[in-house]
Amino acid sequence: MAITEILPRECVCKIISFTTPKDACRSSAVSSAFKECADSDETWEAFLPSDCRDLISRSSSPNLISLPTKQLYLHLSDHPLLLADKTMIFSLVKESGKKCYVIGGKGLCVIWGDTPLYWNWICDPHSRFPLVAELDHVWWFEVKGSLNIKLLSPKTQYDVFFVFSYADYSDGFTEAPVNFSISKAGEVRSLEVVIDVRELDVKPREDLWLEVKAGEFFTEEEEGEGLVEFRAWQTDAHIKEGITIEGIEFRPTMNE
Amino acid sequence: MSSSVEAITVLSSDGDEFKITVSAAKLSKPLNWMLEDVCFSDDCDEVPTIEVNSKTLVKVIEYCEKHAPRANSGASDSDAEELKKWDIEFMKMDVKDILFHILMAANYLHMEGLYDLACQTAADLMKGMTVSQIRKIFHIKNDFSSEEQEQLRRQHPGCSFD
Repeated sequence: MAITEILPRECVCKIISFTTPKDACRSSAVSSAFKECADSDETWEAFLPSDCRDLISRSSSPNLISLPTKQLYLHLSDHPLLLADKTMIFSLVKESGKKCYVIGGKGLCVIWGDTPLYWNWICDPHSRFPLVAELDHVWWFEVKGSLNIKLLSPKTQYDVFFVFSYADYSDGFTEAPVNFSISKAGEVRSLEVVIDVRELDVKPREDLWLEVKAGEFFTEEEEGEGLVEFRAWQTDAHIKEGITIEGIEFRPTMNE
Repeated sequence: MSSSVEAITVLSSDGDEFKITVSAAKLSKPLNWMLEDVCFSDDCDEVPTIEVNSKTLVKVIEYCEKHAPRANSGASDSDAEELKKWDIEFMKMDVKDILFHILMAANYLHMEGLYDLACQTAADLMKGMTVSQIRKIFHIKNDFSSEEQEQLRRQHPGCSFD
C-alpha cells in the first residue's frame, strides 16, 4: 500500500516539511494524493521564515499575506519585497528559504549624501529602489549602514556585498583600495578591495549591477538584540567620482 | 493505581504479551493515562491491548526503554550525542516493512520524539530523489494523466520530474 493510503495526511505533510523546498516542489508530481500534501500550507509553513508575514504586513505589498503559503514562498523568492519606506529589499533564497536583504542608498548613511554638489539621488531603471546614490565627486568617500541581526536567518553563513555601478568618467578608485569593515556584536572584520573595474575582475550580475564582497559572518541559532554594522570608506587625497550605489546586500552563502 | 509496579504487561494487536517498564511507558501519552486510570498492582490481572502489531511494538518498546532514562531525568550533552547515534542505528529499517508502521504507532501512541525521528528518516530517504524514485520508495502509483503531468512540468520548470 502507498504511504498516502496508510499514513494520515498530516504525517505525510510533516515528512515533506522535513525535506527541502526543492524536494517539496518535486514531490507535487508524485501522485495526486502526494501533491495535496506537498502543496499544503502545513508543509510550506516549515520552509517560510516565521517572521515573514510580519515583514509583509509592514511592506509595500501587504496584500501578499493572503496567498497560500507555497505561492507566497515562491513569490518572495522571485519578487523581492520593498520594506522600511522602500529603503530595504527582502527576498528568500529559493533553494533554502533563507533570508536575503539589500539595504538601499536611502537606508544607508552616505557621508555628504545630503549635499547635491557631491551626491545626487537619481531614479535608475535598473534599480529596485526608487532612488539610488550617484556620486558626483567627493574626497571623503564613506558609506555606513546596519541591520538588526534578528532579521537574518539563524545558523547561517552570510556574505556581504557592496553593490554598485560605474560611469565611463569614473575616477579616483584606482589609486587606493576601498576599505570595508563588517562588525557583528562588536567583532570587527576588515577587508580592503580596489573597486575599480579596470583593476578588479568583476562581471556584471544579471541585474547589471556590479558587486564586490565586503565581508562575511555567521549567525548563531539564538541571536540576541544586536546589529551587523557595515562601513565602506576611501578617504585618501584623490578626488573620487562616477559611481552609483545600489546598496549593501546580505546574502546567505550559496553552498549551504 | 499502585506505584509499586515497575513494569506492566501489554498485548499487541497480534495477541502477544510484552513487558514495558513504567518509566518507558510514560513516553506515550495514552499509555501514561492508562497507567493513571487502571490498576496495575500485582493482584490486578488486566492486560491492556495496544493496537500495534508485535513486530512494531518490539521496536517501539526498544525505543522507549532507551529514551526513558533521559526523558525522566534529563541528561548530559555526551549522553544526548550517544542517543543521537543510537537513533540513527535504530532507524535503519525497511520502509514498507516497518518504518510506515513505526510512523503509525508513534502517531497513535502520541510519542512526539519517535514520531519526529521517523518522519525525519522518511524525509531523508526522499531528499534529492527524482519523482520516480520517490514513488518507488513510498510505493506510490502515478495517477496523473499525461496532460496533468505536462501542466506540472510547466509550473515547476526548474524541477526534474523523471
